[in-house]
Amino acid sequence: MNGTTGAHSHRDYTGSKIGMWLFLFTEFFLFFGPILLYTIFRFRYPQAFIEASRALDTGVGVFNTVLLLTSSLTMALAITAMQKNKKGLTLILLGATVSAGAVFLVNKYFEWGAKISHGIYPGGEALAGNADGGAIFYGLYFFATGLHGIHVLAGMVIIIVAALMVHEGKINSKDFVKLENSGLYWHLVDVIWIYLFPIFYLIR
Amino acid sequence: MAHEGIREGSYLSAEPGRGWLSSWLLTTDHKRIGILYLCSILLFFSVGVIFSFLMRLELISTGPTIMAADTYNSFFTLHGVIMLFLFLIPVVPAVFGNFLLPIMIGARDVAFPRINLLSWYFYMAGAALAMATLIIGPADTGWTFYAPYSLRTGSSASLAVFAVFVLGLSSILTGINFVTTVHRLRAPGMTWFRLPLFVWALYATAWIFIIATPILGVNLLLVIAERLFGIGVFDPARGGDPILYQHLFWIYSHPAVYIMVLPAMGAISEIVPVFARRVIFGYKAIAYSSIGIAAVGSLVWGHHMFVSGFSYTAAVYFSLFTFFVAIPSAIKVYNWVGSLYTVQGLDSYGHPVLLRAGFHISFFHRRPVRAHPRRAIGQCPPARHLLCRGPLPLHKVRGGGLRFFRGPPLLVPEDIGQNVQQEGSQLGASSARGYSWPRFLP
Amino acid sequence: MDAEETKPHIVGYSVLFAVWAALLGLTWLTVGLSGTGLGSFVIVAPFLIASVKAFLVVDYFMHLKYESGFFKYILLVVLGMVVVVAWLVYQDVAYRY
Ligand SMILES: [Cu+2]
Repeated sequence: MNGTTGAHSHRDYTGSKIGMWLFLFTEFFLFFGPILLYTIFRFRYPQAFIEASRALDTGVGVFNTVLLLTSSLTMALAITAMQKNKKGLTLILLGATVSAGAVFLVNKYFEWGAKISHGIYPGGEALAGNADGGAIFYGLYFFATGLHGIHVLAGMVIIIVAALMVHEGKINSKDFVKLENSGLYWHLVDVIWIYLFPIFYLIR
Repeated sequence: MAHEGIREGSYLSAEPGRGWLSSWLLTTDHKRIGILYLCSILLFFSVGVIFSFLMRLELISTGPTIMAADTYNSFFTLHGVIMLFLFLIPVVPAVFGNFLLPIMIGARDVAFPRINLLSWYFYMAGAALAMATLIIGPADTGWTFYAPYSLRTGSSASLAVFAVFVLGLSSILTGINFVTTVHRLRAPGMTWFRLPLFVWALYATAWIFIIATPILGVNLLLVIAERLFGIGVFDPARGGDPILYQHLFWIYSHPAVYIMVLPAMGAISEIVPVFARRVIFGYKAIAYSSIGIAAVGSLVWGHHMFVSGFSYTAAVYFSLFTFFVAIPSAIKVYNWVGSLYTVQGLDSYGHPVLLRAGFHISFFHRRPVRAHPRRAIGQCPPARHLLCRGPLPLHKVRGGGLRFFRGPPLLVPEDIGQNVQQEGSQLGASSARGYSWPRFLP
Repeated sequence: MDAEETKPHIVGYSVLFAVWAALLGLTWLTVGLSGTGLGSFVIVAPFLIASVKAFLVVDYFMHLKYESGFFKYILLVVLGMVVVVAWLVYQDVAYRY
């Protein structure tokens, strides 16, 4: 978190990280809701969910998964590089992380666009009057991936800010807890995708 | 800022290098933030009271008396939103927690002072959005925003729902701050079992903030998405299930009762030993029972859904767990009684002890007899009858908790003045009684 | 203080690459299992594999393995909460009709 430890002149790294983890738990519960709803409706409308899932392109899903996993790797590598005081390498790795996030969002944009152009979106003509579960699948799909997309965007902004601070030397090999916390946030975004990917693309 | 050196005079005087206004609006001092919260919460509380009196006035005779039906509905909704999310949820943690928690554990401030200030701004933003519904377009859903009505109503429910979402962000930041503060900033020697019991209660409350609030948050986002795009999860016409809305709503909103009542119980646990002139009886039991109430209280939300048509199996489990909450609650009460029992001479008891007795009666005795969760609503069949009786149960529980207002003034530190304690407590006692009894005694 | 201030642990590049390779392998596995028609296993297996992947990310990328016990306990509290809440909701939806 961005807060200072206030009263203490030394910096409380563990305190900052506890705050960040607690915040991540709240994000985790935010996504727990839609995933719980998914499991309930998956058992209520098994056939419709399988058919709706078949319309999603697994190839794009796999590509995006590999992209996010790799961006998680570069983020973790960036922290190690910072701890070893390799500023240039850190900046390159952070750049790679943000780029992967951007490509992820572009993919999502085209994926959504293709679905929407076929009328497959909440309130769209392909799902109108559909009460057998197919509309619910896509309702949850757009809600969960949309919420996740917002988190990807937020994570990219956070990493860009962190990169600027690395550049200015405000984050350095002695004081890198802000970079660590940015990384924690990015990894959480990855963990959420690790669950969203199979439930929409693979359980069929 | 707290770490910029010691300020001249008290924490109430302006901070060095800042004007009066900016030294309030930009302060990161936990005491000043507590006072910011106090003023804003009291402001919105009075607005809520005004709505409530207007509504009772409207009901004085049949037919429209002073307002149209849709105005009544929007007042009804806003009264609920204000009293629950702008008043009951933040009042003890954000005011007394912010003010006292660091002092009680020997810290100079909370763990993240700037985030503490941010939480106040989220509170004000949420409050502004809620108030804006009056101008932009009122909601007529009631504070629970139950699906499917909230999905279909023509009123601008989305704005009110979003206001509550923003208020949730404020709660979350407070919760994160308190948990981190208790873990990291205790003074040397302030071990867990030397913590004041009020701190234990705040710690348990902060965990409820962290775990329960985001589930309400995503539920509200789902309602907004449903209204804007029609995603279908809560809409029976699209194959959705409105009862799932109730689940996600009460997973937060039952623990919200404990957000209010736990810190109040913590305050009682501080006040009783002072007036009993002895250490509290059963310190550890009371400390653990705060955690116990938070934990078991997270498993009982279904008792708000007995009339929703959900499964009888679930009703049995939720009924059972609701009985279990009585155990940690009773542990507290019996230890308070134990603390008082050993004192000689009952005439030494002032009104603070009587307030505890009043709490005891209203919370544990009166409630089961008249529509109260601990027993009556905990049992499924009576609940099916009692829950259909309008606003009564809610106001007995949470309005009854109002009587805690006799308590918090007594937590004001000694050096600020005995008078504040005495008068504040009297005032709180009589105003809480004057506010809630005349209108809700049937 | 219950979470001791420890010297930051530097996770080596090779460890991170190994975890990444494992994550890709598990992705390949879960994609391969998709649509094989193994009944309810088709639902359970992706959740199990996803949990293993999430565990790898949390433990190594997020350094949980190298943090003090406190972080692990609060994570357990959160996961326990998730399980219990889901179980209670299923008590409703599974037996409703
Ligand atoms: Cu309840």
